[in-house]
Amino acid sequence: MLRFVAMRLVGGLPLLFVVSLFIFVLIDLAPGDAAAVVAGENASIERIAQVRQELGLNDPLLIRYGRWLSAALQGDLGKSLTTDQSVLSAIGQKLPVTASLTLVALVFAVTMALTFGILASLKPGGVSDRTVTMLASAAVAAPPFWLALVLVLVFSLNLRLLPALGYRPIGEEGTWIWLKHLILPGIALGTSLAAELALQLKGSLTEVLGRDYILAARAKGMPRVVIVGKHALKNAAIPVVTVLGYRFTQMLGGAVLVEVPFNLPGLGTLAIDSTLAHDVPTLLGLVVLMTAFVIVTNLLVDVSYGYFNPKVRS
Amino acid sequence: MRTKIGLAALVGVAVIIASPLAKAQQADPDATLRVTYAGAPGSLDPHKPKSTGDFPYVVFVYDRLTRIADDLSVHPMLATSWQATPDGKALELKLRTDVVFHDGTKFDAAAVKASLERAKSVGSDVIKGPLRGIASIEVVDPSTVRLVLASGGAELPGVLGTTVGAMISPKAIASGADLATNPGDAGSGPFMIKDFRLNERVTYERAPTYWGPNASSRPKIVELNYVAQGATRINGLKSGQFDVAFISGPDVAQSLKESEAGLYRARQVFVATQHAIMLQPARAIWQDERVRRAVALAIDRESISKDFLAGNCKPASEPLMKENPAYNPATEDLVKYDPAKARALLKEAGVSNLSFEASAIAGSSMAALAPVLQAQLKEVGIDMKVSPRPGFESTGAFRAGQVDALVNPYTGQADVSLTLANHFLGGDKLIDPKNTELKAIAEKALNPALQPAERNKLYQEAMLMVVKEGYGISICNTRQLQIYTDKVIGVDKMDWTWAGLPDYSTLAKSK
Repeated sequence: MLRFVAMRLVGGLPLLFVVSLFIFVLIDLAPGDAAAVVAGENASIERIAQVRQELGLNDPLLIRYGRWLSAALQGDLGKSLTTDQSVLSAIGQKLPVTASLTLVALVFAVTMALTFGILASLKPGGVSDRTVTMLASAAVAAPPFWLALVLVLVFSLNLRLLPALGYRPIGEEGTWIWLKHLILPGIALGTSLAAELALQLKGSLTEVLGRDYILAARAKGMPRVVIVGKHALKNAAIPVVTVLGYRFTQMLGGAVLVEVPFNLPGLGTLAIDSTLAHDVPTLLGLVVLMTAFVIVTNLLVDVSYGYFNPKVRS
Repeated sequence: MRTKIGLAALVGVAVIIASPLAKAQQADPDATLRVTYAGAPGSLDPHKPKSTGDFPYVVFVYDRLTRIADDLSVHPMLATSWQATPDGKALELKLRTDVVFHDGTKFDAAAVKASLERAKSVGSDVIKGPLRGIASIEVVDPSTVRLVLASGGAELPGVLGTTVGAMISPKAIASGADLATNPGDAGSGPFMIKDFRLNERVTYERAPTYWGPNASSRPKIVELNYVAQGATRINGLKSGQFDVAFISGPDVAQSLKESEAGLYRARQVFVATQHAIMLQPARAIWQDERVRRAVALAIDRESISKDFLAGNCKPASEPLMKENPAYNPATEDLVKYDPAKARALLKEAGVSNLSFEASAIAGSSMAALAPVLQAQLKEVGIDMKVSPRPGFESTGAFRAGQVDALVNPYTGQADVSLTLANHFLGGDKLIDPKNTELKAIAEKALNPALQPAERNKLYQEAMLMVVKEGYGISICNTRQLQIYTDKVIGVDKMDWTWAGLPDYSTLAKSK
C-alpha cells in the first residue's frame, strides 16, 4: 500500500510541472501588464518601465519560468507582485476561509445525502423516493450564486437569523460565530453536491438492498437499522465515494462563486484578484496548491476503495 | 458649522434623506461602529498608497497638516495657519503645540520636516509629484516650519490636506518600520490600529487621547470592511451587520429607492470624479481639432445621465464640477450635444469611416459606459472599438500610446493644479505637446502671492483651453451614497465625500 501511495505521489510531480508551465504561458499570453498594476494608479510610463525592469518582466518567458521553478523547488513560491506578501503567507491567510467553507459544505452535503439517500432507497418508487428524486433533481440544477442570493434574502434580510456576509475566524469570536457565518455559504456550496450524492446513494443502496445476503439478513430478523447501517451502506458506498472525490475537488473551484456574494476572503477571491492583477507568483502558487490537492484527493479516493471493498485491497 | 456652509454651497450636491424621527442623539463612547467600503485596504503607509482607495483607511491613524472641507475650502488641522513670505519664495506654516503622536513623540516642526522629507524621498509618484515644488524644509522654531519653494506654492495648503501632508512620528520614520502593514503607533490621529487584514478589513480602537474635536465621543472600536460588491454591502447594512455602507455605480438607484422607503438613511453626493473619454494626442487620427470636436458633440450627456445611469450622473462639460469656484460656464456650449454639427465637422475635415480603439477597465462602470458611447458615436459615423483591460493597465496602455482612446474617470482632486498635473500637463497628457500656454497659465496660478479669486480666474482660462483642445472629453459626475442606520451620527458632516473617499473617522454611534 505504501508503495502504491508513493508511486501515485511521485507520478503527480510531472502533472504539477505541466500545469504550472501551462498557467505561466497562459498568463503571459493574456493581454495586460503586471508592471502597470504594481506601479499603481497614475504611475508614469517611466515608473512602469522601471518596475518592469525590477521585476525581471523584460526577460524571456522561459527564463522567468525557470527562475520561478528553481525557487519553487526550494520551497519558495515567491512574493505577490501586488502586495509584496509572500505567496505562501497569502495562501495561508486565505486557506482557512476556503477550507472552513468547504468543510461546512461537505458536512452539510454528506448529512443531507445520507438522510435523503437512505430514505429514498427504503421504498423504491414510493412517495419518499419520488419526492427525494424530484427535490434532488431541482437542487442539482440550482446554481450556487443564485442559491446564495435566495438564502441571504430569506435567512439574513427577512428572518435576520444568520449573517449575510463575511467570515470570522474561530479564534476571534468563537466557534458559533465562525459557524454562523458559514452556514448559508456552506448550504449554497453544498446543495448540489448533496443532491448528487443523494441520488447516487439512492441508486446504489436500492441495488444493494435487493441482493440475496440482505434478504437473508432480513429473513433472520435482523433490525433494518443494522441491515442498512452495517451491511448495505458500506457496499453501496463505492460509487458515492467516487462522486464525492470528484465533486470535492470541483467544490474548491466552485467556492469562488459562493465566496464573492458572501464576501468571504478565501482562495477563490485571491484567485480572481491575482488573475486581474497579473500576479503570476500568487496565481502559480494557487494552481500548484490546487493541483496537489486534486492529486491527494484522488489518491485518498482510490485508497478508500480498499476499505469499502476487500477485493480491491487484495 | 463650516462644513455645513460648505455643503450648502454645493447646491444640489449633497442632500440628506433623513427620516422625520431625526432628533438629537447622544454618542456612545463604548460603541463598535461597522462600516463597509468599496476599496480594499492595500497599504496603511500614507506615503506609499497602493491606490486612492487606501485613503479612508489611512485617515483614521494619521492627521494631515490641513483639512479639506466638502466645498474644497482648506482649513487648519495640524497647521493652524499658513502664509507665503513677501517674496513668494517660501510658505510658512504655524503648527499646533498640543499634539502628541501615539508613541509619545511630540508633534513639532522637526516632525513636519521628517514627514515631508520622507514623502519626497520614498513616496510613490502620486505623493512625490505634488511636493516637487518644495526645494527644502526648514525648522524655524518648534511651532513654525518653512517650505522653501523652487516653484509654485499656492497649491500646497490644499495638497497638504491629502495624505501627502500626513504626519508620521519621527521615531517611526527613523526605525524604518514597514508602515504599509503595521503602522503601530506612528500616527497622531483619533484611532490606532487594532487589527489589519490585507485587502480585507482594518479594525481600529480609539486613541487614549486626541487633540481634535469629539475625541471622547467617537466609538471605542471602528471596523472598516472591504466588500467588493455593492449589493453585498447593501445586504450587510440591511441584515444589521454594518452601520454604514458606501454605495456607488449601478447600486445607487436601488439604494435610493430603499432609503426613500425608509429602510435606512442615505446621504447622496455628486462626486468630483468624472466619467470621461480621453483621446491620445500622439495619434494621427486626432490631429484635426474638428475631429476631436465631432467626438465631443456626438456624446449625448443628458441621455447617458437620465436613460443609462438613471439620473445618477450629472452631465459635465469640463473636468471641474459646476460647484468648483474655478468652473468655467463658457465650456458648456463647446460640447453641447449636436450630432448634425458633429457629422458636418467630420465632413469638413474630410474624414469618413473614422475608426478607433478605446480601452476601459474591465468590469468597471467605465467598461459598462463604453458601449453606450460606442452607439452614440456610431450615429455620426464613428466606429469605436472597445478593448477592456484589467486594473490600472487600461491607463498604462493609454499613457504608453498603445490605444487611441481611453474611457476613464478624471479623479477628483483637492486642488485644480493636481487635475491639470494628472490629466493634462502630466499623467494622461491630454494636451497638444506644442501647447505651452497651458503650462504657463498653470505655473502662474501657483504663485503663492495670488488671491484665491485670481487663481480661480486663471484656472477658468485653463479649463476653457483644455475643453477647446478637446483631447479630454467630460461626460458626467457620478452620484454616490452613504447609507446608514438611525444610530449613526455625523454622516452629513463627513469630509472627503466629494472625492468618493469618505473620512469615516469622524462618525459616532448612539446607543
